[in-house]
Amino acid sequence: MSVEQWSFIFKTLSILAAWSYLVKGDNPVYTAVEHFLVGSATAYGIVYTIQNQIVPRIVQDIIGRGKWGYIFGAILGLLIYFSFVKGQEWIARITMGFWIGYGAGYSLAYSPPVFLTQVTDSFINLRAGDFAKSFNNILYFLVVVSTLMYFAFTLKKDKGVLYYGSRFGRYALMVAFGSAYGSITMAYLSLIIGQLTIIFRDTLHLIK
Amino acid sequence: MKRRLPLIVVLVTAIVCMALKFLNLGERGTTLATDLDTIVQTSYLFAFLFGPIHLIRLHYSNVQKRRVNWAYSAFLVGVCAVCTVVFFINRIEGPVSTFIIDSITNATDSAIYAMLGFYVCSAAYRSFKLKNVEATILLIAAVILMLGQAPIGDAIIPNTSKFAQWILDVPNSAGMRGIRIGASIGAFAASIRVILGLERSWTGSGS
Repeated sequence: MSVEQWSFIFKTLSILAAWSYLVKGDNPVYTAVEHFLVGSATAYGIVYTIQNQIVPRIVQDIIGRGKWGYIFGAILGLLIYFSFVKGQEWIARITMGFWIGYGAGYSLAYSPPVFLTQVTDSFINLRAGDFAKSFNNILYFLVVVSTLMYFAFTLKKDKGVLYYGSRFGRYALMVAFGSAYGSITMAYLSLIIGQLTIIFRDTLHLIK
Repeated sequence: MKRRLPLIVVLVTAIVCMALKFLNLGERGTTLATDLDTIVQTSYLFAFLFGPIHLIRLHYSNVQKRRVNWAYSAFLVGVCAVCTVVFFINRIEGPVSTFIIDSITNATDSAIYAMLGFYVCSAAYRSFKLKNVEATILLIAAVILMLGQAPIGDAIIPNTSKFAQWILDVPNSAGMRGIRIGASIGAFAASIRVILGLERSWTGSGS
């Protein structure tokens, strides 16, 4: 038997072990395969990071190109392990502070171009020439504005434009969530079909 | 000191990051911004063992104290140790490593993820009832989308796929844009709170 055939057999066994949860909940076979998944994925993460990321960073960037400043990043990263040292956990918070500060600064500095593009793109031409395009543009604009009205929780929305606007926004959101739900369901179904193909076509050769 | 130093680090890092973007430092500014980004990436790399160490400590303690299902914890630690050795010896792209990752790890991962599909369908069956206007709209949109993405949809009602595509392009896209704009404003506010030290639950000292 070829390696490929063995691979399909193992894939089928893994799929059946995982799907055994559907028959008998948290059964021993499912739990074992679940723990195997976590253990092997952790091992993969460790080896991949060392082999493909840390070693090239040290050999190529720090030693090869003389980017010694990167050692500062390495030291900061290593400080996180102080959270395992009793009484010295606060040192690990320096690394956390560095990450959080960079994340917050990055969000304020680099997000506006993306976010503002979305805002300006929402102000589209409402009279676009043909009826269908104009209708779509008007609806698009109304949905964006009414959705924002719905999310303005600090405003009183018991009457007037805000009341009807936020109500329309809620209905528009339901259409958006419904369509997202429908798409996700179809994506899951195609994934299930893919798994069944492995079992019935590739392993058991029952279908062609 | 122990509480203030991390907050000072947050403030300084955020100011440096924003200064590199907003101050016109030319070519030098771009290089510094790239270097800062690489330093952050390097710090992530060297902190990568944090998760695995936590995981192994937890399961090792389960085995040591003979907690419920400790045998599974021993199995996990064993698999992790054996796979780490095999992946190192064989290298990550070697045939044995590829076989284990493709045939067991990825297959199980996909199967568990696909299993959610069964639960999504069963949840839909239980919750999709015409209780009120909102639920009805949600149901209709979801059904049209599902029919539109399956070949049978157009066979039952002509042009269902076109209508489904219109729902995705106009109401869905516009609704998601509204949500994204709202979330971006929220992220802005949260970032400012973090930089000013108003949000400090991550330090363990509460807001």
